[in-house]
Amino acid sequence: MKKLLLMLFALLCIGFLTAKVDLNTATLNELMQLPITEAQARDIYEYRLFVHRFESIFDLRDISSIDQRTMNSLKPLVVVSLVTETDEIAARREEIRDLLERMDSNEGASEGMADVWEDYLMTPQNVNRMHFDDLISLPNVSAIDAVAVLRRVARGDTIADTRDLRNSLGLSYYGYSNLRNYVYYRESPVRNKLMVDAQLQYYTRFFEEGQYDMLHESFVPKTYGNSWVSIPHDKRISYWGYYNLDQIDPDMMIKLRMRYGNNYKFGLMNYSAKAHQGWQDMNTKEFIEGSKYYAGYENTNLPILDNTSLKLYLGHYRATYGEGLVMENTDFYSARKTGFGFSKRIMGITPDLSRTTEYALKGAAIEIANPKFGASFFVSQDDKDALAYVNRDGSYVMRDRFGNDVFTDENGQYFIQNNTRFYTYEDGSLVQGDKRKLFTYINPTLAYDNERLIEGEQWFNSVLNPTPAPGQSYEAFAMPYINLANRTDAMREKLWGTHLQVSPIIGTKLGFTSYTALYDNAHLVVPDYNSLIPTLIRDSYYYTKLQKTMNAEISNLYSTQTDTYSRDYRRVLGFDAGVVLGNTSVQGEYAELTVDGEDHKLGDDPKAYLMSAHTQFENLYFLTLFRNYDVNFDNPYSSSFSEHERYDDTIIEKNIYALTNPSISDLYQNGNQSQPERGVYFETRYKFNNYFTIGRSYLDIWERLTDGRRSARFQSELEFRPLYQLGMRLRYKNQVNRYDDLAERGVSKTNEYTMAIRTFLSNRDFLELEYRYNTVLSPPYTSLTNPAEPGNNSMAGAMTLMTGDYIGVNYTHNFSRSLKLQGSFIYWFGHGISHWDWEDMEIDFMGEKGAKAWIAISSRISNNMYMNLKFRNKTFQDKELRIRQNNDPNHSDLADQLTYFDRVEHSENTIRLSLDYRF
Amino acid sequence: MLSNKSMIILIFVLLASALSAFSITDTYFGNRYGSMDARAFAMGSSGVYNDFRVAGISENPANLTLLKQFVGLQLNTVVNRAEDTRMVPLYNSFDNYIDDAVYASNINAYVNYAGAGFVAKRMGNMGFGLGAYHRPYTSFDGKYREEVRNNRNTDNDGYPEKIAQNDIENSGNLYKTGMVVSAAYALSDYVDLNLGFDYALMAADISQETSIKWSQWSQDQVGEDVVLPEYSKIADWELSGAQMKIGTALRIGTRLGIAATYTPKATLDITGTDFTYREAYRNTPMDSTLVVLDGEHDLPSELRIGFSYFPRNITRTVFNMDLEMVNYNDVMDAFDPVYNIYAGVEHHISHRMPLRLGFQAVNSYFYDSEPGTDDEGNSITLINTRKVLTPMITAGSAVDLGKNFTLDLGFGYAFRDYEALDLFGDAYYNDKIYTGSNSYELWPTSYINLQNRGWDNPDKVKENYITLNAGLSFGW
Repeated sequence: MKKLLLMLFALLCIGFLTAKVDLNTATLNELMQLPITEAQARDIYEYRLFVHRFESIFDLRDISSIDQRTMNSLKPLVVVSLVTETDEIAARREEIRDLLERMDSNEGASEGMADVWEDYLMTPQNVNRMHFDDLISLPNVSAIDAVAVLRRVARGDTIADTRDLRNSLGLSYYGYSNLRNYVYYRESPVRNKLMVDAQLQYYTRFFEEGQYDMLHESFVPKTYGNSWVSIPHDKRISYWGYYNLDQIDPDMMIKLRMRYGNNYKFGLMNYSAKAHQGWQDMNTKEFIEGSKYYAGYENTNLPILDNTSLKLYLGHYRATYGEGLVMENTDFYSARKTGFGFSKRIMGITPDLSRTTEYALKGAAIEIANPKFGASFFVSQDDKDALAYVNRDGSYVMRDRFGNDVFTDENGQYFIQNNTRFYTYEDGSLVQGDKRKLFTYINPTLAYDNERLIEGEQWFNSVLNPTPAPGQSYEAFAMPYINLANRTDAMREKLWGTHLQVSPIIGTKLGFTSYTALYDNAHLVVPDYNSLIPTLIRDSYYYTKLQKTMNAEISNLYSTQTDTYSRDYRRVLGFDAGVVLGNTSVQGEYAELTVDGEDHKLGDDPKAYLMSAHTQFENLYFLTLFRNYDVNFDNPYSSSFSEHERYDDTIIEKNIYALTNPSISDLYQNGNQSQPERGVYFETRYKFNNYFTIGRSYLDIWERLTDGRRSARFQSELEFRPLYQLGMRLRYKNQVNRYDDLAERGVSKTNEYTMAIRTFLSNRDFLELEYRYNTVLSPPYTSLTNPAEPGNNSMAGAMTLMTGDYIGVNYTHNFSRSLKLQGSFIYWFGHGISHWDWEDMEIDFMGEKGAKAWIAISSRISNNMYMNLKFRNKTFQDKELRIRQNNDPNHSDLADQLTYFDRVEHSENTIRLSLDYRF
Repeated sequence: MLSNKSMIILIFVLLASALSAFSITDTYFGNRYGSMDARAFAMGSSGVYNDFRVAGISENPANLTLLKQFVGLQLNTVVNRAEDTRMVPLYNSFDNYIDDAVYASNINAYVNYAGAGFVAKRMGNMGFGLGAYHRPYTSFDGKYREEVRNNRNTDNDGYPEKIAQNDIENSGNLYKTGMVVSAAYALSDYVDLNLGFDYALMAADISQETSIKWSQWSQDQVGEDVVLPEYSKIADWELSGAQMKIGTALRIGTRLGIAATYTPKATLDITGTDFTYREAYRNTPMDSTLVVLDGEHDLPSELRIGFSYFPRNITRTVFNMDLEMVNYNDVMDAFDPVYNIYAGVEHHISHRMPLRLGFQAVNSYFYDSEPGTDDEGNSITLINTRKVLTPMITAGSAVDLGKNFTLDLGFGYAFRDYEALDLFGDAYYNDKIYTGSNSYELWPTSYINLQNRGWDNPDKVKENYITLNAGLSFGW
C-alpha cells in the first residue's frame, strides 16, 4: 500500500513537472508561450544555447533582459532539469583538462612526446595489462613504481580502482599520482572512437643569439695573408645581409592527428621553418615531401598471443632504447637528460610529428612485446642535409673508391690530382668520381634549397674574389673560396636497426640494440688534424691560436673513408640492462661505433657507456649516474645524459669569425649530440613536510675528454611554503671549470643566487617575483689565448669578476575557466653572463642587458577548441660594439683621436598564434 | 546603460580621436584599411561572416540578410598612429655588418570615417535587404621629415649643424561608396543561405609632394653667390572607377556559419600631373618637368573565405577566422598571390561586457624600378618586388549605450620590418658640386664619401601602427 501511494505521488510530481516548461529542453516556441516578451524568450533560448545550460532557476538573473520581478513571475511556471554531459570524449577531456594544458605548455621541451602522452591521457591503458616499458615511459613513473604494479598483477591480483592502485606496495605517491591519469582498471572511460586533433601555429620567431651572430659574420676577413685590407662596406657579404633575414617569413606549422581509439593512428605535420618554402607556395608533391606523416596500428592484446602487444608504423616514427646511447633520434639537445622525473624517454617505437627533421626516421617499424620478450625492427630511407665539400661553382666535390678527390676538366672528363692530371688509374680503367664528399650531418638554421644556397655562395665568392681575367692576379682582398657549405638532402641514408629484449624476472631486462646507416651516394670524410685546420679556419693568422685540443671533437668525427678502411656505412651496436632491487633500480647501456675494429666485436672500437642507480622513498629519492663517452664515439642518433653538447667551447661555437664559412657553426647551433665526457652525477629531492622541500638538487663532477678539463656543478633549491597562499624558493648554483688547474686560462667560477616569492591568489591566479644574482670569475678572452707551449704567454694575467642580475615579475589571471591571461616583465643585466627564462611554453636565453615583456592569452573557445595568442617585446643590447665617431677608426685623420664605442641595441617583437581543435 | 555624462565623454573621445597616419612606402597600392566594423576589427578584422554589425556589409554583402535587425545604421571612425623609423647599415671594427643605426624617425597620426546602413524585410522563408556604405579603402596619407646634418660636435654631445631638410607630404584616400543587395532563403530555424552583391564607386584625390630645402646655415657656409638648388616634386592625380563583390554566407545550425566573397580585379582610371622642379646651379640649367598622368590603376582580385563558430561557453563566445587570397599577379607578373590570415575571439567576461582579441597577418607588395641592361646590353627596366608581412594583434570591447545602441571599441598594434632604398640619395648634399671647390664646406672631414646607397646598403625600415577603431551602431 505504501509503495502504491509513493508511486501515485511520483506520478503526480511528474504530472506537475510536465505541465511546467523545462528551461533546459524547451523549444523557442515553448518559451514564447511563457508570459514574457518574444525578445526575453529568445534571450533565454540563446543563453542556454551559447552560454550554458541552466543549473538553477536563479541563472535567469544572469540574462540582462530578465529582472527580479520577471524571474519571480516565471518561478512557478518553469523547472530546470538536470542535464549531464553525455559525450564521453568531452567528459574525459574535461577530466584531464589541467594535465592537457600543462602538457601543451611543456611541448617546447618535450618535442613531440606530449602527443604520445596526450593520446594515453585521452584513451588510457588497462593498468592490469601494461608492460614494464609502457609504465616507465609515462611521466614521473619510475622503474620501482612499475615493478610495484607489475608484481601485484603477476600475483593474479586485479587492480580494481584508483584507491586500490594507491594501495600497491612499493608504489610511490608521485608514481601513483601521475600513473592514475593514464590508466583505467575495468572499463575504459572512452570507447574506441575516431578522435581528431588539428593544430595551427603561426610564429614570427626570431633567431637565437648564437645563430644571429653566425649569420652576421662577414665572409671577408679584415686581415688576409697578414696584411690589412680594405673591405667594401656591403651588407650582402654576410648571410644576414644577403638574404635579408630581418624580413624572413614566419614559422608556420599545421598538424593533424587522427586515431581510432589506441588502435589506428594517422598523422600529418607540415612545418615551414626559417627560409623554408611556405606551404602556400608548394604543390601537392612538395607539400608531402616537406611534411612528416605516419599511419600506424597498435594492439595491446593480440588475439592469439596472450598479453602480447604489437605496434606497426609506416612513415615517420621515433625509436628509443636503453639510455639513448645507440638510438634515440631527435634534432634537439637536452642537457642532463637522466631519463627520470621530467626528462623521460618513451621507450620503443612511437609515431613522430615533432619538429625533428634531420634525424627523423622515415620508413617502417614494427614492435612486438610481451612481459618476457620484446623485439622491434625498423627501416628508414631519407635524404639528409650535410656539410659538404664544394667546388667553386657550388657543386659537390666528388670522391672515388680509393679516397681521391675527383675533378672534372673543361671537357667533362674526370681526373684526380690537380697539378698533374691522371685520367686513368694504374690498371688503365677510367677515373670514376661516384660519390659526394661530405663532412658530416648538419641541421641548418637556414633551410633554403641548394639552388638558393649556391646563389648566395657564388655571390660571396664572386664579389670578393672575382675570377681574374687571363694574365691578371686576384684582387688584394682575395680569400679562399668557400670550401664547406650546407647542402640540403645531400646524403641518401638507408638505415635499418633492431632491438631485442628479454625480461626473465619482473623489473629485470637485458636488451640488444643495433643500427646500420648506409650512405650509397656519399663518403663522409674528415681529414687529419693538419689538413682540417685550413679546411675550417679561413686565415692562417688564427691557425696556432685556435689549435686547441678540444677541437679533437671535430677531427674525431666519423669517416667512412680513412687511411685504414673504406666503407659506405656507419654501424652502432650496444647492450642495455636494468634491474630493480627493493626500492632501487639500476640500469645502464654500453654502445660501440664500428671504426677500425670488427663490426660485431666489442671493446675494439670507440665506445660510450652509462650506468645509473635510482633509489626511491616516499618523500626522497637519490639518483647516481656515471657516464663515459669516447671522443671518437660519433653517433648522431644518440641522445644521452651530458652537461654540454658536442662542440661546446670549440672554434665552431666560440670563434665563428675564424671559420671559412660561418654557417659551419650550425654544427653547434643546432647540434643534438652529447659532448665527450666522463663524470659522475648525483641528484636528490626531499620533501621534509608540507612547509619545506629541497627541490631537485644535484652535483655533477666531470671531465671533458678532449682536453681533460675538469668541472664541477652544484645546484640546490629550497622551497618554503608557510601558508597555502604563499611560497618562497631559494636556489643556488655553482659551477667551477678547470678546477684541477687554477693557473690555466680555462678556469671559471660561476655563482648564481635566485630568490622567488609566489603568492597564490584566488581562482588559481598568482603573482611571482623573482630576483637572481650571478657572479663569474674568469680570465678575460679565454678563447684567444696562445697555446700552452714553451715561450708562449699562456698564463692568466688577471681574473675578471663579472656580475649580473635579473629581476622579473610574472602574473597569471584567470578571468574564468575559459579565459586566462599570463604576463611577465623582466629586466636583466648580464655583463657576459647568459640568463634564461621559461616563458609560457618556451625557453628564452638572454645575454648582455635588456628588458622583456610578454603577454599571452589562452582562450578556450569551446570544449574542443583552444586559441593561444602571445605577444612579446624584447629590447636588449648585444655584445657587438658600434663605433660612433665617423664609423671609420682606421682612417689616418683619426689616428690620434679617441674613438667611442656604443653597444648595439635591438628591439624585437614576436607574435605567436596557435589554434588547437580536438574532437 | 551609461549616464548622459558618460555618453557625452564617450562621444567626445570618439570625435577627438581624429588622428591617423600611414606608411609613406605604400605609394602605389596605398595602405589597406582593416575592417570598418570596430567589433570585427578588434577580432583581427575577421568578419567575412558577420551577423552582428551593419558595417559588416562592406566586407561581405551577404552579411546584410544575416543581420538580426530590420533597419540598421553604423558610424565608425578609425584613428591610426604610425611610427616610421629608418636606419642605415652599421659596421663594426671587423667591417662586419652588425646592425642598423637610426637616422630618421617620424610619428604621425590621421583619422578617417565610415558609415553603413541597411533595411531588410522577411517574407516567409525569404528575406531581402538593401544597404549602402561609405568607407575608406586604402590610404595614401603619409608624412615624413628628415634632417640632413653633418657629424660635427657629436663626440662632445653637441648638436651637429643642420644642412638641409627633406620632406614628404602625401595625402589622399581611395574611398569606396557602395550599394549592397542581399537575399536570404531560410531552410529551417538557424539554417539559411544568403547571397549578396556589392557595387561600389571608387574615387580618390591624391597628392604627393617631395621637397629638399637647404638650411640658412648651409647657405651662409657656402656664401651668397653659390646656389644650393632647392628641389621639389609634386604629383597630383585622381583615381576613379568601380569595384564589384559577390558574397555568400551560410548559417549552418546554431553553432556555425561559413562565408565567402569574391572581388574581381578592378581597374581605376588615373588622371593628373607630376611636376618636378630643381633650381639651376653652377653650370647646370634648371630642371622643370611636367608629366601628364593618364593611365590605369589596378586593384587585384580577392577571394576570402571564413567561418564563425558559436560554441556553448560560460563566457558566451564567438570565434571567427578568415583566410584571404589576394591575387597581386593580376597587377603585375612579378607579383605572386598572397595569403592573409585573420582570426579573433569574443568572450563576455561579465554579463554583456565583451572582451575581444584577435590577430591578423596581412601581406602587401612593394616594388621599385631601376634602369638596367640585359645580357645583350639593351636597356631594360629592372623591377624589384618585395612582399612585406604586417602582423597585428587586436583587442576591444563594447558598451551598450542604450537599447539597440552600442559603442564598439577596437585597438590594434601592428609592426613590420623591410628594406627600402634611401628616399633622398646622399650625393645631392655634396656641396663640391655646387661650389666647384675641391673641399667640402658643409662637411667637417674630407674623407666622407657622399654617394647614393644602392641595394648593397639599403635603408632598414621599421614601422609600427597603433590603431583605434570606434563605432556607434543602431539597430531595430
